[in-house]
Amino acid sequence: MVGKRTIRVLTVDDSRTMLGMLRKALEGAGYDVIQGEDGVNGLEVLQAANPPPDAIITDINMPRMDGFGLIEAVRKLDQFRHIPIIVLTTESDPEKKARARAAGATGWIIKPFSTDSLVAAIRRVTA
Amino acid sequence: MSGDMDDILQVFFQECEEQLLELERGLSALSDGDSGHETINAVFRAVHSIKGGAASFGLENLVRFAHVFESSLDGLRSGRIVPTHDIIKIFLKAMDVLSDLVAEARGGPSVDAGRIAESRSELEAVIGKDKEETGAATEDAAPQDFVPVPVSFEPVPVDFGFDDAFAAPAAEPLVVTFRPQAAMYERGDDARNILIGLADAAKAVPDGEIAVTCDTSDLPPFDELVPDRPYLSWRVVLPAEVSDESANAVFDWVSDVCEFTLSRGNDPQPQDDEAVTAGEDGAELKKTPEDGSPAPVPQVEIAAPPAVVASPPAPVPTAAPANNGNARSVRRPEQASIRVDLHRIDDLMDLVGELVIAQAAIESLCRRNDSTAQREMAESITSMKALTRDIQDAVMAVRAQPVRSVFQRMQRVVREASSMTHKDIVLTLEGEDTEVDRTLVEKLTDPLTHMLRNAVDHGIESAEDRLAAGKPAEGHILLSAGHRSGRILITIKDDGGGINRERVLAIAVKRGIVAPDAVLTDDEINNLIFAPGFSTAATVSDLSGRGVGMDVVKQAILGLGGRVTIHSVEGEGTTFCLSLPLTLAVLDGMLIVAGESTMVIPISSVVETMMINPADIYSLPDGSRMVSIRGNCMPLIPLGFKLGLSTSDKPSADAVILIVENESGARVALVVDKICDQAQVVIKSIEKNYRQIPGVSAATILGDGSVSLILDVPALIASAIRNIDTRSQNTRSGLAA
Repeated sequence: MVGKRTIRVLTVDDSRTMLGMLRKALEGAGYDVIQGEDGVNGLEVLQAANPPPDAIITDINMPRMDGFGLIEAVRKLDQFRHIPIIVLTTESDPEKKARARAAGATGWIIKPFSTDSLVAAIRRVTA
Repeated sequence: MSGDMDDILQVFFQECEEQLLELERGLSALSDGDSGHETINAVFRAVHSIKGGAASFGLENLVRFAHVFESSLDGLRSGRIVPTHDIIKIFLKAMDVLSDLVAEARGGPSVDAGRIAESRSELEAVIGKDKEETGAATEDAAPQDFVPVPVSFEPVPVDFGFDDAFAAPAAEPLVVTFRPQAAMYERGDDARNILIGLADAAKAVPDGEIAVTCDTSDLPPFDELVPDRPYLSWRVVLPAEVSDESANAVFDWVSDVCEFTLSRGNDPQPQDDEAVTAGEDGAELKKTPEDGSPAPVPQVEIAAPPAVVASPPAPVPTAAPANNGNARSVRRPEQASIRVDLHRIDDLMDLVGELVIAQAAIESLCRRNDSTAQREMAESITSMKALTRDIQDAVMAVRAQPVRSVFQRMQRVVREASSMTHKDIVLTLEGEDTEVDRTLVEKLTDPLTHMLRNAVDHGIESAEDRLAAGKPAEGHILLSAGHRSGRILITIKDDGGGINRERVLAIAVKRGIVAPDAVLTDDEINNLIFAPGFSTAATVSDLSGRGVGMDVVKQAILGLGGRVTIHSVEGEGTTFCLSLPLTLAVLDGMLIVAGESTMVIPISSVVETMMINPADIYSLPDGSRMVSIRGNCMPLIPLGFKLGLSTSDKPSADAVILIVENESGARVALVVDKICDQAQVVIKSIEKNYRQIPGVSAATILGDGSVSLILDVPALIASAIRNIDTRSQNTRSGLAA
């Protein structure tokens, strides 16, 4: 069990709209939210985070480093590779899912998401 | 909650603006032949982002169009589509529609459905879809693509309710076995998560308990154990009411890295491995008691919470409530906010820190009472003055924005205007990074729009005329911005036919703007196009039909404290130069005294100052005076008398002359009692606080707390010229207004 500590979620998206919605939904559900604005920044935030996040939610299509790149990078970092990573995607085609899986994503959420679906996904990996 | 959503919606609209700029930039890079990976990705991402956000707010019109746009850009990204000139044109047009759809979502005018459909079918043609099919198919297909399919991420409650309501009574318990592979753990997942998922699935039904057994038979002796190798498998028995689908959903994410089986069979005590096979037989025995009570109950219970059950069939479950909630907020006036580089805020903070220190220094000097304190105090105040100026600059830097946003909007203006006039015109932008105060950026849009339309409509000739004149058929307009001695200079340069002065003069005479016998310089004729009521358009085109003349443009620029000048060479083109102050809030002024009142004259309009020499002054028969300065005669205005502050119009012997100039170069000499100082003054609107006063453009508060008027030099010049030169009064006032 994670115990009483608040569950911390890192969300990475280049859209401030999306970051805003993620923050609202997750904070509303009692999570502690930290955010990154693309893959590169997401990695920086991850490495600077104390405590480290319990889960990561990332967009796929981002400048500088995309979601796949971020996942691959996180999976290469020993102290973070166990963190569940959920991919946010508007594309529901199997090809994208397969790529996310191959990169090491734990799961995915299809945009637009509802607060319930988001929380269910986080619960699924952090409960 | 809804307040939060409103805020996020505002962020979304801001972001749309940014994405549209990004899109514009990317597409123009594409048309310049830059089809680099990053450019195409940026273009794609811009539309993709807008679509994603719009979907979250249930802005369906926007989503639907963005989807088609995105699909065609995806073709570009994957290399299926080559960005030819024609295709980029289609994209540009689609961008305009998209930008209008964003404006519509924001509460603006609704977009003509025909235009959307037209652009859409063009995009679909780009994708290479069959027309008949797309008409209906995309309509349905588009939104469905991003409808959150609850199955994939909201596995438990939704599916359960749905399936169970329709499924035949599943009397037998559901037996799930699963064995995670190493890859599942490598993805940050855990068997625990799956167990919890199954438990949740079970909890959704009454008496939903699960029975879990862990198979540890593969576990090696401890010293042989490799920590990240999977050795365990599980067997879970769920209540009969749990559907296969909801159990399957638990494995959705791991279907490729976790072996699992689902089967139906009563197995109340799966303690040993035998139970798996025994389940089938045991079912016969246990069926009756299990069936007796729980099975019928869920049928009733499930129907009761329809909120859960209703979810899957509804087309856009998440978007619908958001949509309703936002119906009002869309019409909310947009919040003014800007994004500021953090460094600028930091700089400002540093300066404020220094200001606090300087203030403390002055305070301590005040308490001291010795001979040097006075002098040190003066020094401190001087350095504080420098600091204040730095802070002012820093604040201005915070408010500064590159003119890019306005400039890029002009691409569209030119595009639309040139397609309307059937001309092929390329607009080149330069100096988009030039920064000006954000209020100024906004106010530039209208005048620039009109001037560019004018350049397309009247400046650039038709393709035939151009070819006949030995020019390329494609017209060019250059829009550039730059800083020039504390002001911003914007030039609009076309390579058209130039101003046809004969025709301009003829029209001006016809309209009664100038007298038939007027003798005007080339420059004055050029400036006639700014005269009210002047329009050279032989036929009223769509563009000129907008009811705005160049005079309105000039008024707008003057209202911003700017000047417009024209330079035109027949056959080679016309250049308009707009010179604007960097900010509308502060002005460099000369403090003068006239009629015992201290007033401010904008330094930008002062050409030179000199002591008065009575020998150079000539009286005219109408009582007004001229002054000859190095052989040039100009009207002499005794400022105090002119403004009604003093009764005598006779300049005193020690009076000072200020030569001031308006944007068309007309000069007058203002007589003032003395020049006090040069200072930056904060502009306060006098119209807002009192009413308009002719000859006064605004007011300010001076260091001693007194209110001082800022003079409207162009208006003073206009009135002086009107008094003297009655012959071409209309022309002149038209020029100067």
